Amino acid sequence: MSNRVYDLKNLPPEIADIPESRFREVPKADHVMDAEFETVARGFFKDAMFRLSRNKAAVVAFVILIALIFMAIVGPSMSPYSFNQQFTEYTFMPPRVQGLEKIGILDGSYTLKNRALDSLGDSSKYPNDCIISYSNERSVRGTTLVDVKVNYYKYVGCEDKYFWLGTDELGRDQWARLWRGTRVSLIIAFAAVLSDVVIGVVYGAIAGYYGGRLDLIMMRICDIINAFPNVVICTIFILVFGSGMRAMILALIVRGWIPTARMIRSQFLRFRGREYVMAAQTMGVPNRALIFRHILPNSIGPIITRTMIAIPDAIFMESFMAYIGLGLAPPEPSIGTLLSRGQRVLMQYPHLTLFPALTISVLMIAFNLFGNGLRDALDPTQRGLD
Amino acid sequence: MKRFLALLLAMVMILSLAACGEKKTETAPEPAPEPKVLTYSVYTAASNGSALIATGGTDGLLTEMIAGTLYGYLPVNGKAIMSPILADGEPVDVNGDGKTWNIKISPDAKFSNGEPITADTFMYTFKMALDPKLVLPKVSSLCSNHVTIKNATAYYTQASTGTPVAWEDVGFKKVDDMTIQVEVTNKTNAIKMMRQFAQAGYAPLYEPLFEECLSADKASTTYGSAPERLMTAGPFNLTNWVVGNVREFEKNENFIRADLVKLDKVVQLVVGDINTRVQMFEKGETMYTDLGVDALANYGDDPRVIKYPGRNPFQIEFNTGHTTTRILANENFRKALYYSVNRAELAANCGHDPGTGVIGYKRLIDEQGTTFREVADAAGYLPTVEEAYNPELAKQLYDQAMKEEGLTSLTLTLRCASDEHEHQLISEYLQEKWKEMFDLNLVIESEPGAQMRAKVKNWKNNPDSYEIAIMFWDYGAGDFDPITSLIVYTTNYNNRNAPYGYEYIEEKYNEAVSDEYALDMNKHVELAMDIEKYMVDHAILVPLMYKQYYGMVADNVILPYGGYSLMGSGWGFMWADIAQ
Repeated sequence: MSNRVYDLKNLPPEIADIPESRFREVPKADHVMDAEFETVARGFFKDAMFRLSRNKAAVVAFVILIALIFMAIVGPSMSPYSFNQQFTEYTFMPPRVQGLEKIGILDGSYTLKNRALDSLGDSSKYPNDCIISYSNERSVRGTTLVDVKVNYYKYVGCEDKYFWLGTDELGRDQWARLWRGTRVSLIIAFAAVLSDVVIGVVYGAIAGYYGGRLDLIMMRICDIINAFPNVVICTIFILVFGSGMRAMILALIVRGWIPTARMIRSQFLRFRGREYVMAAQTMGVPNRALIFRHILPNSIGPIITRTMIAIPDAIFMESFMAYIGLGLAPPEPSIGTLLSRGQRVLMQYPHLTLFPALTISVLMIAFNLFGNGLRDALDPTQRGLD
Repeated sequence: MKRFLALLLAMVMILSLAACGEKKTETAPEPAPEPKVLTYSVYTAASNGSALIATGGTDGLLTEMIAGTLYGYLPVNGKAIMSPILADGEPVDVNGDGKTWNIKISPDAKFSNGEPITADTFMYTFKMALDPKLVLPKVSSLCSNHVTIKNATAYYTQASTGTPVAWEDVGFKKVDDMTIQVEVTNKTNAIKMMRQFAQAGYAPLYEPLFEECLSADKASTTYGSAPERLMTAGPFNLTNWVVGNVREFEKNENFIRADLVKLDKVVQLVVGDINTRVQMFEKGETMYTDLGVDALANYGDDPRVIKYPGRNPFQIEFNTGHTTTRILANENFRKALYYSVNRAELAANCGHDPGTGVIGYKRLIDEQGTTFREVADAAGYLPTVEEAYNPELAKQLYDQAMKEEGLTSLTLTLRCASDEHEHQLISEYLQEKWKEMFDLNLVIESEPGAQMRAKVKNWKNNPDSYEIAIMFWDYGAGDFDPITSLIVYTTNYNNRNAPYGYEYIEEKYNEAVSDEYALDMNKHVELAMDIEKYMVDHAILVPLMYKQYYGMVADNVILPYGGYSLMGSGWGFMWADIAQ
């Protein structure tokens, strides 16, 4: 069979008269189909979660946060003592943990400084063979002084007790107080930040959507409120409402919503002129639906990121206020009040500062790393780069 | 000839060299002794160098170093004895009625620049101190403290009262160039007069400098705000002052009792954090540090630790005028709380001394240093610390009070200072113990001390301003009469903590300060004991513990007293010595 070339305008009758019914489509290849995707299609949030899970630091931070939150819930009840139970005869006990004490860690030992060497044999002063060793022998105004390392639990006569993180100046268990304090700090931070987000979103959305004079006035109000120092605001709230969680949460809200409002406003300024918004407006969609249904969902990513970053700020602020004496009403502990109390005796009983300091540091770092991870994951410009 | 000249020249050179050598063999002059410098840390910045103008609670650490006064406490044989300083002898009762006193000024009294101090100097000082336009911060106590100066208060308050008072009508007169006369409203004695004029606010003002520092309208002054705006007549001159950082003093060689001043220089470093202060002491950077109660644990048997008493007890005050919480006015309820506190345990945790009385250690009944507390405790009218903790009796009284008031449960709010460690400990201790003992729900309202006290004092305007509160009275140094500490529980005292108004207390107090007994210390002791007994018997308040202070002094610092002084550490440093 030879290939022939026909002029389409002058086809021979045997070809030009072939009935249409005898024609059929013939594909070039065996079959025709769209090209297959090499990867599974993912939505925005699924993609964000995928990218978040690839961020090792954020994952570790998340695990730590979960662990800390778990301890804040369960920790206080793990100790046989309540956070408020006083053992006034066992004040400033050093940490002691079953098992660990056998390997010389958290074994309840403590060094009593500047003790008269002559008195070491006095069993009324050093009962129950509590002396482990002594060192740093020196003479001060004719008295020979030494530093005496003792088993403090034997020294005060409570060898059967275990205070895992020691006790404070009223003999309260630090383990129970630390986790109770963490819980309180987290509750304050979450409550304050959630309220900030709600107020900030509504306020920022209204300002950004309507714009113009209203926006100008609303933003100047923000500027005015933002000009008040936090310490002054907290002091005023504590004076008015008394010390406690309510005053602290309210004090944190007063200024806390402003960054959220500004961020939401900028998002609305960006989206309100888009075609789909104008189309919806043309079709008579009410303003409330436009704001909350059509524009606000674009800001979910930044809102989540902002929330995660605001939480450690709130924890830090609460701790700072508690540290300077404007914290919660006793006996409720928070990390700040524990640090404040611990700092007074830092040189004598460093464990009272060490554990709360470690907790707040880990909490802050974890929240920040997780917040950074979320920010990267929810950033649309990063989509598809992994 | 040339050889002769050369020989002569050589001999001259040899002789001159020999002469030089001979000089070298002379005994070298003894090196000047090392200046005695005392460096220590203080915890707050001062507001002003003049005690007349200073407003800070700890400004005395600065002002008392430089204030020269007519009278004051001087170290005599290890004790602080009220003595003439710029005055020449004790005040003289002119008419024998105890109301008009002549004070002679010593001819050796001089300012630090060498200019003499005369009666005119003091007349100018008094006039400026009471100036109705300036209304300086300390004017109130200068008018009326140990004695009340005639017409002084009326003079300085004339602008607000609208009643003009001439300076000539105020109880200060110049008798001659070196004598002033003081008229007081009530009969008094020489020791009270001396205490009145021992106040640093009465330190003489150097007229040319004070005038220079006055504003154009003479309603404000910059006097005392910098070393160059101060002229002193006291033990030291302020030579360098960086506010909030350092204060340096040098011995005032023109001070009338310069013979008692052993130090050449004093350096006060302002360090806010107590741990840093202790560390600086440990490193040898300072020669004294105060010790927090908690830090004491690190100095168990250290002989360098010194202890000195505070003035009054920590106590719980009741707002008996509260309109809704009427149980506060119930005596059984208050007594229940009195007997509910284990003071020994509480005081041990706070580092103070447990106490059951209202009057603290720092009340003397004679010049030998016998304290009121020693005499009163020996009299045995107060329950001992052990007796004052009786949970069974407390529970019984509490139940009775609740029944009387028709209550089944009770929630009370305790006001305390968030910036005072003892307040925190006391409040949390009581919260737990009262819950256990009475099932009393104690809510702690914790806020900065100044605000807390303002709320407590506001009971006159708002009868419900507080329910119960932790309070601590602190009086000015030098006032040791036990009866004067009780004025705060009478209606004579405007700034009192609670309504009070108990007839028995009013009567006894007024008897003590009446002309008949104003100068009778034995009667004062007797009446003070009566009042204290009444207050404890009726649980007008709940005393908890007597405040103690602790400090640590370097080995080479020799204080004018043997490790314990009613005067506190600041006074001791003025007269301290340093072992070379």
